Amino acid sequence: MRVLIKIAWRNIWRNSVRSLVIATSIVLGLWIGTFVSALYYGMGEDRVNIAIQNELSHIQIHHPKFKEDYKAQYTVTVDDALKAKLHNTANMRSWSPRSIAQGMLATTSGSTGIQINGIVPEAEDSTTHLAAKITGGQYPVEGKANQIIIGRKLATRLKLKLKSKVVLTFLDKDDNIASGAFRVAGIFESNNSGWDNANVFINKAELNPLLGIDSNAANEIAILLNSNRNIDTAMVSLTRAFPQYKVESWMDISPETSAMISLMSQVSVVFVIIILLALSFGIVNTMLMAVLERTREIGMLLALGMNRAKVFGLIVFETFFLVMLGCPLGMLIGWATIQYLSVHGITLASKSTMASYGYSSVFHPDLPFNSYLQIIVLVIITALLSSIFPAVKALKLNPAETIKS
Amino acid sequence: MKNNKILLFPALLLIITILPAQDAKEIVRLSDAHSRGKSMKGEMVLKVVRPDYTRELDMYMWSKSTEYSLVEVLAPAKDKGTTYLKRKREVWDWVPTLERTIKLPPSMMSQSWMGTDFTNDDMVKEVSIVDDYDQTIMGEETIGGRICYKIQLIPKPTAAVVWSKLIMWIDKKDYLQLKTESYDDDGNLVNILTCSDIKMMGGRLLPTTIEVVPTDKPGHKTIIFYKSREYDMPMSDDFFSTQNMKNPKQ
Amino acid sequence: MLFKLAWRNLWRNKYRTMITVASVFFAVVFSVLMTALQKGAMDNLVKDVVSFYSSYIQVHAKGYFDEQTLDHVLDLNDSLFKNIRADKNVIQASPRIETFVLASTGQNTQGCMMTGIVPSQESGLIQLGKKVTGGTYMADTARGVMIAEGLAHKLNVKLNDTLILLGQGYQGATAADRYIIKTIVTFGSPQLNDRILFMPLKQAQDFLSAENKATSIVVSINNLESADNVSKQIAQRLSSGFEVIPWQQMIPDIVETVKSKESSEIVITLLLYLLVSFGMFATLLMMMAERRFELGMLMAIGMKKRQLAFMVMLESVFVSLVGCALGLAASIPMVFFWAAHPIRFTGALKNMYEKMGFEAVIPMSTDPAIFYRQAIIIGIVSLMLSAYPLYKIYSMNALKAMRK
Repeated sequence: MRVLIKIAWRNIWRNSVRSLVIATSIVLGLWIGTFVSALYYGMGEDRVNIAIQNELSHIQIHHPKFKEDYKAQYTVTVDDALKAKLHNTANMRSWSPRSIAQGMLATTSGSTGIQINGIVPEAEDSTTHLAAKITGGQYPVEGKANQIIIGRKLATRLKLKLKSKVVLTFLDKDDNIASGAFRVAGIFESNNSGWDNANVFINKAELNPLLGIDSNAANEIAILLNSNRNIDTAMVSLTRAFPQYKVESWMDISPETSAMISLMSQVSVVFVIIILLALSFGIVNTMLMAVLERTREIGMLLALGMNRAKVFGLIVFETFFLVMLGCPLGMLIGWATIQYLSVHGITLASKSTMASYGYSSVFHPDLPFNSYLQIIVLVIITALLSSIFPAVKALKLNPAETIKS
Repeated sequence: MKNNKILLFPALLLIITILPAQDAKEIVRLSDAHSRGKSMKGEMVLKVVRPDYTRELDMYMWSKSTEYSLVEVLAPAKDKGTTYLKRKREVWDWVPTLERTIKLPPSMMSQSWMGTDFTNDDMVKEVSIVDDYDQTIMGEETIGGRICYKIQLIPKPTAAVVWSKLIMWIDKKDYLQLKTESYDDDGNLVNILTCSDIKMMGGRLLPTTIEVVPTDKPGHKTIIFYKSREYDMPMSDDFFSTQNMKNPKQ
Repeated sequence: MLFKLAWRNLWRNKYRTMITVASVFFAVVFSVLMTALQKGAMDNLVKDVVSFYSSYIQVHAKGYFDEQTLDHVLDLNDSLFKNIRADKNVIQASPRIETFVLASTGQNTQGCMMTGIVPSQESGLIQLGKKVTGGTYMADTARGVMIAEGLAHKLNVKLNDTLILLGQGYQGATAADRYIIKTIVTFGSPQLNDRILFMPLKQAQDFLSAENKATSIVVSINNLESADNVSKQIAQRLSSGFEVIPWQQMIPDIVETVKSKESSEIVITLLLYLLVSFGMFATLLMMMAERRFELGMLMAIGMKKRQLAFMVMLESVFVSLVGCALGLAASIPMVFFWAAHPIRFTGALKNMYEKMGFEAVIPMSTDPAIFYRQAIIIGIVSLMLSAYPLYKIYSMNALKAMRK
């Protein structure tokens, strides 16, 4: 046995071309297999993160009746007790209280329906990075009056610029019509132009009096956790802490987003399967060729008296060693590529053609540990199995004939 | 197209006393009070002119200060009996064929009122040209044979109006608002409102024809003719109620 | 003579030939499957979104796209429809009249979008019949309204309740009437689900005092990519008072989604090519290594390198052709089978997708362009890779080769 192993090992180095080819096909297969899986996985994660960041946040809290009709009087009281409970929630990164009114925005050139969001500028920015989306003018500053920021698409549609005047009209808590004049302080642009078109932001301190609700009241609290993985535990503790309010995760709030992401992941799975199949067949093909080319050599060994089982063992060991050599290298290259790109991202199309429906132009491949394991196992099994068949075939040959050919 | 609602109900207070040179705010206040009175009622015809059609509405209106008004449509036949009620910041609509009173939500505010160039929002606005603007006298000009103050009005930062500037010509002798130009943020003239046919009506001197022309829509115009007017009759707040919309007493 | 040699070479080493052909074969099969799947999924996504509401093409009076009011209406007449339907790509053309109205129950009032449609035709255009979740689908001549579920919820109404509609009709006429809710329909997109109301076209025209008028004619075609061209063709046949808009302009958001998916798919496809190219290359590499002796021998007995190269080239060409042909022969039936019997989601996933308006399948496209394009690409790659054996031959020293 030990002799066999030694011979197998030496054989690999002896026939460098063949060994190199087999090892490379394994390395390449692993690299591409992991990279493609990571690309699709990362794209799915990206979509989730964008949805969370932009609009949904991880968790939202409302008065149970607020979402039915968006009536201003259904508020959450942002008092010290609430602040303390939020502060004590595990993995809480940031939270933002908002008042919300659905109404009209009017200018001299026209008007449109929008959602008016009253925010506390700093809290909002920590939770949704809204300030980073400002492309013209400035992010609202607390204390300065009549500031409003609008989306770029809306600005273009209604021919608005910085300092343009707009009038907001909506219903207050008593169902009377309230209105206020504001000047455009800044223009924002997010990845989702539909959202840009439908939302404007003003100071909550100015919206609340117009709505007729207390200054410490909010219609919505948006919560950002440290990671998507913390959602379940956070949901449990928040639901317990606030039995009087409705606590929902982004999956509850936007099942459409969940559905879209899920559908795309399912389709991606099929793509990844095709790639993995292709790489498997590639390895099989390479192995077949490799063993086939050795018929003369095998015939020689048999003629010299080596017993068939040992020859078979020899081939299998050689394959095994090659796979063992190729795997770590392949995995390393794959992992390194993924790590690098998950931080720097791949930029695939120019920014102007993307940016709506929530897709960013930079992808971050990423792969959970399980998937690496699955792919390695797949490749190893494929390589070993695919060397066995031709090995068996070769053994059945008549040694005399093979030497002749 | 928006129009300063105040000018829908002009009337003239005959002030015989000639006051010394007033400041702009005072002039505007006097003009406004003259056109409004404490309470007012009267019949008018609203004509909407478009490139391919014209529409005329005959209506009767009651109003009390800036907070209450009731408008009943008398003609054409299809719209006869339709009534609009404004109570402070609420607007209600009574449609006889539907036998229902409907409260207008904010999404309807920018929709045009009865197919005219006025919006539902214009009906509701409680914007005062006196208190919500800063006024300055710019000079004097003559319109229709009458010498007028030319006054610039800039809305205060908190005033909920889309305009950034108004220029008003107010007649020196009788404080009639004869012309108003409305400007947007970039200084573009968007709307011109002119008043003419000055007559005595309900004891006051009034322009009885008001014409509103948007500058960016060729062939579009709204014209209001006042057929009758009475002022300062006693009118209780209860008159302006949803129950009274079905058949308001003239 | 070289042809004969090449031919015999291939037959002499059956297994070797089979394996080499197999590498090309698999390359073609996988590329075809991948591309067909990508295109199928993309086309289906677009088809799903287009069938939400807008459909493939819309014909309007000029100016409607910029300002969607009753100031820009079409006169409906036979010649208009004849001109549109004359295009052989057109499957269906149906009129709609849309405007903003107020819906009220007396207690609750809500602004909404009212669309007058021809129900029998819209069931084909936007699968409206399938979206019914309450009541029965209305007939073209029935009286009543079909209300979207979200809107019904906001107004707190149910089937058979009476709804008042109030708005501004054509040329400023007042539109006011009451109708019974005959149907409830559900849309996946909340934008539609919370705002839309349908009624038969004639009823809508009466309501708006807009006899024989429409705001758009909605057109479905048989090939979504040709929407742009068909739009231009229709526009040419109509007078200048019309505008013909393809879906790419009506729902630009989906165009961006498509483009973003395409760019990631190009990367994946290139990686696939890389993988299969290596597979083909590997077989060539090992084949050349094994045949060193044989080729050295031929050179030693006097065959010129040029001739040797040509012979090997012939073998490559043959292998490529057969590999591609077999690859197509195998993949075409696979694609058609999959297209006819796509993988369908079941259970909770299926419900979720269909609720959002997405078809719960993984589809395959049977566009013939996929087949010959992939075969050609692989064929060219395979021929390019055969430059390696040629290089090997030219750099070979006969004596060294035979020494082994």
